[in-house]
Amino acid sequence: MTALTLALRNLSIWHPRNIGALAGIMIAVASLVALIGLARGVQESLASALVNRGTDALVTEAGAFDLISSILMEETAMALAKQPGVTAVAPELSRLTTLRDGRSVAVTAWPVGTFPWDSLKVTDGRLPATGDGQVAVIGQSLATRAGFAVGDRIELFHTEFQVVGLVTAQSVLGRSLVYAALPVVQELTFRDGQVTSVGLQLDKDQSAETLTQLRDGFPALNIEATADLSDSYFFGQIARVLALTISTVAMLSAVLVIFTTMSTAVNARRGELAILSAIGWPRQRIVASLLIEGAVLSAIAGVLGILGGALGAQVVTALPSITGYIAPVIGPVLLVQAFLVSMAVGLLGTVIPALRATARAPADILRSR
Amino acid sequence: MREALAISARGLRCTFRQGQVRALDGVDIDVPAGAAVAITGPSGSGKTTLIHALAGLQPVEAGDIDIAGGTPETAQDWTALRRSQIGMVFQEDWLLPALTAAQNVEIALGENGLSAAERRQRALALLARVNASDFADYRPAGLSGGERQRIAVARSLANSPAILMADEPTGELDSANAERIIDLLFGLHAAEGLTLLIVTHDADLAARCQAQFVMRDGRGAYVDAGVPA
Repeated sequence: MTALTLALRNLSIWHPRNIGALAGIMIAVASLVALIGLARGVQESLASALVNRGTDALVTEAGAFDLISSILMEETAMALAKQPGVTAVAPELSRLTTLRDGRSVAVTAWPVGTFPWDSLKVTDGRLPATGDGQVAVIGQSLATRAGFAVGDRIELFHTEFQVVGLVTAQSVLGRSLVYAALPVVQELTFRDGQVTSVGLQLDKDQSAETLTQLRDGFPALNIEATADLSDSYFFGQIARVLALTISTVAMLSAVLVIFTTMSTAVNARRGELAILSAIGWPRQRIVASLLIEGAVLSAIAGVLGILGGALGAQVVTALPSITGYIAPVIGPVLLVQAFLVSMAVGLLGTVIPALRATARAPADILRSR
Repeated sequence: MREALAISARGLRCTFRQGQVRALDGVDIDVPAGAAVAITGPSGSGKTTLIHALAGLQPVEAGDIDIAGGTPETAQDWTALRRSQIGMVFQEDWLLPALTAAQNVEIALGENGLSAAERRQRALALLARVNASDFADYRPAGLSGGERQRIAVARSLANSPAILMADEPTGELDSANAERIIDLLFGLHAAEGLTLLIVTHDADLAARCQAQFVMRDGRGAYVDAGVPA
């Protein structure tokens, strides 16, 4: 009997030890995938909303705590529109308000006809038109959760709006916002002539130079490429730190759990290892057999853990409190990383106790039994 | 003319607990080829340590062992010797729970050039010799203690060893099963000329051997004048 066949036969019976090791590794890998996926989802939520809107750069007040607390004069958008390399501008006012049912929503307002409206795909009704008054369109996810349909009335800023359209957007966040025309929201929030940010579309061939020139020309403004934006504001920084912290903790937890699980499983079998030595199996063949077991177990548990983690992250993001705002970011790189962690730590957790156990005189183990 | 020796050991010393316990305190033993020798003595006298040392399972701090015509020095030497010349039976059967009875015997055949079918044939033949053919495909959990110990004996014979060492092989068996195992071991000894070394507390079993090597406080000596001391 070879090391391979012994390993496979040992795995073929559902010994509680094997099930325990499988479950331990699986849970560790699932936690790793789910936590990192969610943390990255938080981090990328804002950035993807802006990128999918077609915004190349965003202009805010220098030193602003976050996007909503920034205050700019709307004329700034006109001045920016005249700069070389700027192909389109979209002044934006973003505010939070509370619906009648106590639910908080974010309202985003642009002048009718500006480019961000083009990123919204109307699924029912229409977009606001000039002179419509107090009308709003609602992101499809929010509409589904809150039960809004075209023709309904929605209270925003203590004022009734008519829902004229439902829209969907590429970003998860974009599907959970309320959209309205800029002048209407400015008036209701006492922000006449003010906006929170200005979205820019730039000439692609010279966007880097344009950004440099804009920063030189408007030193009182914060001008960031959209791709870098999530790192520039408080909540983006929090998301980044959280993602890093959670990833590190999840990774270390996974490593410790897998290592402990595999070490315990090998230690529980010291008697079997001793008897293999007693019947003449060379040490390297015993270790090889254990390594094969560890590798197969880690691979199976890794795959199951990845599937479980991806599923778990989806379940978490379906919770009412966060649904529609975050989508877990679980890409192929994370999956490969999780699988490699599972395999590497599983093998490490096997080889160290295997070498230790087989280094002892068989009599030590047989006698202590 | 002296008989050929299967085992000749001189000055074996082995301590435990940082030297506080002298398990072997200068033991000399010769075992003639083909003899059946019982190692007896009170608990803690060093019997098991001696047989473990003679099988290379327990490193000794001092002493020399010549066994089966060789002088193993390294762990690899001992492993090779156990694979080819020494069969071991323990108080516990130590069968691997994931394997069937036949596979538990096959595993001792290792990778010795036999095909899978030949290994299976050899395992079945060994099980037949210990009257265990009926449960060749059973896992240990489904067998009685006596049946498991018979499989352990078959496993110890897998590589046609010249020396069979048994450490209290009936210690966990009822008297009927113990009797069967003893008959089996002595039958093999008689039929194949195996050198048989048995650690036992059982006076009847010891009496069936040609000689008794009595251990006390880590020292040992033969009490039967018919065997060279």
